[in-house]
Amino acid sequence: MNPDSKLAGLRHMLTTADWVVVAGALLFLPVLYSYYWPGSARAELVEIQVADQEPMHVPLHIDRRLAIQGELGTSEIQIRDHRVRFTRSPCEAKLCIASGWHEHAGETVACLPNRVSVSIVSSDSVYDAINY
Amino acid sequence: MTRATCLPRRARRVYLIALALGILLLVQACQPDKVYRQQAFVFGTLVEIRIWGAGQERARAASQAVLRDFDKLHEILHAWKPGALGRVNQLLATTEWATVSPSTLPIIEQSKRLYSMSDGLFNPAIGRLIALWGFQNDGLPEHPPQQSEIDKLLAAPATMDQVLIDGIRIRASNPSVRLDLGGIGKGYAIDLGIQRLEEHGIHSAIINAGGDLHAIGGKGERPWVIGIRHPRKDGILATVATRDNESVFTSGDYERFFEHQGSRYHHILDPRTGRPARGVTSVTVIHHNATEADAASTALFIAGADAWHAVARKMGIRYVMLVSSDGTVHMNPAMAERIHFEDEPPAVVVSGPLQ
Repeated sequence: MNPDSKLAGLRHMLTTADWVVVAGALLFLPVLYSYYWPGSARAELVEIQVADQEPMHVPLHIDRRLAIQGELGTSEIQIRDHRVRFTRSPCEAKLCIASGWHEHAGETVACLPNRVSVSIVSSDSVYDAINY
Repeated sequence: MTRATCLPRRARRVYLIALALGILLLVQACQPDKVYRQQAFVFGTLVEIRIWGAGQERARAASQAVLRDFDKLHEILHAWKPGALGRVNQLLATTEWATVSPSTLPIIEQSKRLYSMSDGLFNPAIGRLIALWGFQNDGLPEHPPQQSEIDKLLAAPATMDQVLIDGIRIRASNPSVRLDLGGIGKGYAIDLGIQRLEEHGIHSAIINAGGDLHAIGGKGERPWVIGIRHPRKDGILATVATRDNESVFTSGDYERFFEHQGSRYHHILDPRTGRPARGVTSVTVIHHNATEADAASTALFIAGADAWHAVARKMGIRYVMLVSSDGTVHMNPAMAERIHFEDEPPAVVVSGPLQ
């Protein structure tokens, strides 16, 4: 049986509902991908907010250093191995740096004098808030 | 044979059910998150408001109303910048009766009540001591004050019993009294914030002001889940699911501190010694009222591992977790039932019941 006749046979075997199911399954693949593939859009994001500006979002799974201009000066934020921390800050107390690495969705660390906050956000976070 | 009979009818039904489920999942996945979240720098800290299931517009309007209130409260209650509380402190220093802004009186009255309930461990009258240590400042001091300076203040200790209120008039019987409401201000603001949310018809929300929070309702049928930060390591010590109308407040020695010659000096001062309270790294309190939870977490931190239980009973607190300097976790049985540790702590001591 040549390929054309195979396809014709398949057309005869499948009903309209079957084709809808196949199409639905194909359409559903991107959703599954975004849910389960590591580093996908569904994964955790780092939300960085300066004062009352709209926050920016960067993925937590891409290692990088970011220089964020706050009210006093530049805060440096490092993302590495799915964790984030302040590495440089123009504030006096440096409590933001002392607080170390943060890796759980829901965690927030802020440099209050420089009015820069860094949060890990995820739609499937275990925590709704962190108490400290 | 017709095409409709190519597959058995039962198989087609299974396909159709699978298709319906697939579409349902797709619709669920595409639904916007039901939690509205807003974050802002107000009240001298980072405030986050989460609202569940109220619709974006209503949630936004309610959040902005709360944040505006917080801004006003911050001006009123600031301990060392010009404002209503600063004016109160000027008047208290004269020891004469004076009329003060009515906006300051409810929190001062609550402070007096909580001072008595905590056996004086929660003492917002020690503003001069806090200033002496350098904690009434945006920065941090480099060294502790001279002991002789501390002793001078302890010679005539300032207490909330020395603050007298008559209507909207106030006076202090001790000129050393200076109010610093840092140990109660966040809780007071959060209580007012929750009231404001409820006025807007919000019944499922969290207001988190710099890590201390109050939760109402939940996420539909599910409770809000709170992670409690580890006082000495990165990450989370334990989790707790809140019930309707509960505050979770923690006082820790890691919040504001400086180090000098190898010692850590933190901002929670023991009014009896005039120095940072020792022996405890954090105290977490769960309570139905944020103002009381705020004051209680401070008082129990100062009370320490030996006395927290008695003070908690007196303050009517039902859930306490205290982490001592050696890492031992002290809890009452009701708290122990609710706390889930991320990793097992080195030792857990469960006290007798609080009620």
